[in-house]
Amino acid sequence: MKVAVINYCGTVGKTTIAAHLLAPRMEQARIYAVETINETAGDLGLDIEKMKGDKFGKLYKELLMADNAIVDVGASNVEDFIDRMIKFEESHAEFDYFIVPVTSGGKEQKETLKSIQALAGVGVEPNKIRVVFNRVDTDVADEFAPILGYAKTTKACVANPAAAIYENEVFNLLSAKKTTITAVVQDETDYKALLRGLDKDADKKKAAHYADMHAIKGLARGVNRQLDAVFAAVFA
Amino acid sequence: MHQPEDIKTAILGLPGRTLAAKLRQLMPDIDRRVREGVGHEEIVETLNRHGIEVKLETFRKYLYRYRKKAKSTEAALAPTEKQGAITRPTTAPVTVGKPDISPAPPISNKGDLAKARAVDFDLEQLAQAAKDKE
Repeated sequence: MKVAVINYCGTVGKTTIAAHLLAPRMEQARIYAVETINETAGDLGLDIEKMKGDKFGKLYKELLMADNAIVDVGASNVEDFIDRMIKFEESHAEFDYFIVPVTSGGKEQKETLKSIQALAGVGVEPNKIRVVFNRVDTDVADEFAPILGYAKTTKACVANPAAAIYENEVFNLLSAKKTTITAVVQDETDYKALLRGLDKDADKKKAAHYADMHAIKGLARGVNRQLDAVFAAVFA
Repeated sequence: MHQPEDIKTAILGLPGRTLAAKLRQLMPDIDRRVREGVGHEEIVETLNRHGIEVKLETFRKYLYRYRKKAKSTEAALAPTEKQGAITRPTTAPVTVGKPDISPAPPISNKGDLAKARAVDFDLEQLAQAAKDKE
């Protein structure tokens, strides 16, 4: 499966979704970060290939060879990326899905709708455009009503309210620790024991790190299970 | 002598009022200023400076809910009553029901892409569409 994670708007969680939702559930998927300025999944310790939006030709060739791939398109590169997709006719067909993350702010929802309109305009079929509701507070229907209304009216995309990632501090903590949820879940280190084993004069930074990692592990397991369900809902 | 605005600020700062209540009182003015082009960030900074601690994301939710509520109130009013009761400093016509959202126009060059990006969406109208029956 090959997917692009795309939105004109920054800070809607494209990289979070690429690194924590998609990569662990897509076997041996290479991550391509089309990004010039912002954080990439590479900053979270994943092996990625970074390129600019105008290198679409190179990316396209690599996609033709790949079985699984995730293309995380940074906001500042979306226009170039779509422009290249127009020029390389039918290149969008190389993607199985376009994942469009959205958060609940008005500007974010408007930019998301514009992103979906652009994808639909270049010929991406509605079934291939999948919305992921990110940083949900309580209720998708309430917080993302415009997106749901748009999807219902135009049928230009698939917006499944179950494809929802709820607000959780673990994502910021993971970013601060430059790691992924999968790495944390697989980490068998007993940070609590390490913390308790430190003597009084131990390095405070080390103690803080052990405490943070213990907290992150506690949050990560539950969130990881939720992400399994979100992944299934996104591609349902 | 205190100016009315000073008193308003002082009153808003009194403990015991919830954030929702404070914002509810200010929302008509905030909504108007946002429609006049003032950024959400500027509004939030001003609120914070005046002792109303609110995050940008939370503020946007309150604004969205206020507009949604104002819209449904307006829709419930008869047209003659509506003109006198609610004034909206917006030039956008208020329409209720199925929004006029046409399917995405074909995009075949960078110019088309720029045009598509310039399209504005009426979020309130779309939100209403989500609730309408098929």
